[in-house]
Amino acid sequence: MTAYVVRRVLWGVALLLIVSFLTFAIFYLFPSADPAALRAGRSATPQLIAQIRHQLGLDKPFYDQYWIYVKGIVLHFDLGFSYQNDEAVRTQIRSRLPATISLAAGAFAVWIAVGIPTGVISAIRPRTLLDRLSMGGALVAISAPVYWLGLVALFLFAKGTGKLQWFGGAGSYVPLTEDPGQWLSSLVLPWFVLAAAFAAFYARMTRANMIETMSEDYIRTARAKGLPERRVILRHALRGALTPILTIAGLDIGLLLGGAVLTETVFNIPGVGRFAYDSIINSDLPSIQGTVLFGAFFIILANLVVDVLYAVLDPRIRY
Amino acid sequence: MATLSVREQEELRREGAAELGATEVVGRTPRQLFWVRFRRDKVALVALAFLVLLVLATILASPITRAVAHPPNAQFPNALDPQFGTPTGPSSTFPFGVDKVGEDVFSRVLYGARVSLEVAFLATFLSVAIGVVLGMTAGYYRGWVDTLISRVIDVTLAFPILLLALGIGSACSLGKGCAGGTVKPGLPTVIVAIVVINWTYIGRIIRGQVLSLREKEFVEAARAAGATDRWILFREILPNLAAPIVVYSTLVVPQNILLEAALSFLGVGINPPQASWGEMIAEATPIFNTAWWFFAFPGAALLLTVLAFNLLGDGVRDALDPRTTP
Repeated sequence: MTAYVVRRVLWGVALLLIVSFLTFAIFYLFPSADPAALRAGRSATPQLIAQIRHQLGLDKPFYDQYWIYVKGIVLHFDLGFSYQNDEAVRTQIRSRLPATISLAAGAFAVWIAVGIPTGVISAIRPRTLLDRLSMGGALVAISAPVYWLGLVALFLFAKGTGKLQWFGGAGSYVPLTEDPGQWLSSLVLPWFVLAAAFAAFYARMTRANMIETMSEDYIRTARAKGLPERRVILRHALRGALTPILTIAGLDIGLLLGGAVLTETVFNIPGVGRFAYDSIINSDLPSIQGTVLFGAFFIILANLVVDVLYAVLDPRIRY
Repeated sequence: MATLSVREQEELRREGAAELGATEVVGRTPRQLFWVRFRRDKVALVALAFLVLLVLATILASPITRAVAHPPNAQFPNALDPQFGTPTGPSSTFPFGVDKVGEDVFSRVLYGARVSLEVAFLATFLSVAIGVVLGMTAGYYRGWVDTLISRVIDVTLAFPILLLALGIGSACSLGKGCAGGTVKPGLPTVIVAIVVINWTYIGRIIRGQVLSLREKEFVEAARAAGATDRWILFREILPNLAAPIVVYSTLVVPQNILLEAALSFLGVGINPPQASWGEMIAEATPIFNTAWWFFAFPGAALLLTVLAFNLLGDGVRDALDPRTTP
């Protein structure tokens, strides 16, 4: 078991190194624009550009540049400096992290609280009107682009811009430490918007898995023992149905980050996603690299946790 | 079930007979079986009809706009509000209203469908083709080839998808494009970004399938008969992969449409003046509370198209699933 965990951790680290290399390569090899010129600003003399190129080490060979970059990350956790405002990318990401965590954690709570019960109810009453309505709704939620849902929500429900004026402060995020009430009301709409597609996807998965587990022998046994139906469903069937969902959790972290970029852009939340978007608009390469690496780190970490959890939960997995 | 045609009743009767082991057994090819099942899914049929209409509308976009609306990039300053110069809503001459510079939203939505469908088909085709070839190679030859391809897949899946696409998109949207100008900004960039990510999913599925197929007797028989590797891969194994390939393709088309729209929304995909649904929603965002038609119509078009592909995909999957009763 320990050997397995160690091997998985080592592979995770290797993966992170390869990802960092590829991110670096994409921005070194792909752009036809010159980073030094970007850094120098609009009206720069050729001398200034040459000087900046030297300062940033852009005149060194590719492998040297990569080596310096990786050394900075490993030794000092240094992700470089933004071309836009000279601030350290690490500091920028850290200062924006609370907003993104507020958004992601709330959305996660909403999607679990909505998705799984919907799936269970649909599964125990398959082909009823309720089942058809919720599965139809789920498919619509999966098909809707999240940023568009955000606009519709702002248009309908937000105070100031909306028709119904329900939620004040949507579109102007306030940190939790400043004003908890304002924080909550500014995040309700983004939570539901970001959670919609995930909740719908989990509802569909839960329903399909539940229907399959409900026909297992152990469910018949549980019923034959005389257990109340509620206990059969919640204790026996739901457990069996939820384990496969665990596997996709790692992938969902990546999707959640993508969703956060779009949601933060629409609702004007100053989080890591918004930072990634701003960096891309400003061609701020070190910041883009930093956020991609940061995202990859979480995906790899989540996959690692899932793999280890799975090995603990399922004795059939060899390690 | 009251509205079954004579032919369908006949089909149902034969199926029933076949199930009971009656004498009248009609052999059916998998394709026929698929059609019989698919035709019974009314929702999927409606979705298919919608998509066929959409394809026709995009092909006939220019005659349609000429007949009922205005060219997509023509500006009509007179259509703007005379007092404030703001966009005006739906009217008899502009069914979906006009945007900030007085362009017809209806025409732009129609032309935006072109981009979405082009991406949907081209990017899906390319990622499936690459995924199938590499997946088959990995599964069939195993060894170091398999290790290499599998590791590439692992690495790609470790990236945050949208951020990787955004990275490729932004790297390629600067200046003349990326990779020495071979990938131009706009549609080619979007397709490259999608294909780089998406081939890995199908590659992984196909590899798994081929790993088990290559041990089957018919492959051994072909090898004994002296077939070359290429013959075995493309003539023996590939036909057996038809179902997973079709199922996966229907699954990935709507995702590709959404990814294109998201990239264009974030400004690294399709750029104006070319119309794209994502780009239109981005332009509409700053004025969403005064000009609802500007974001509502492209978004609704996007939602309906993706929904139709999802419904069609569900229908195809059910019809191909051997566990569903025919």
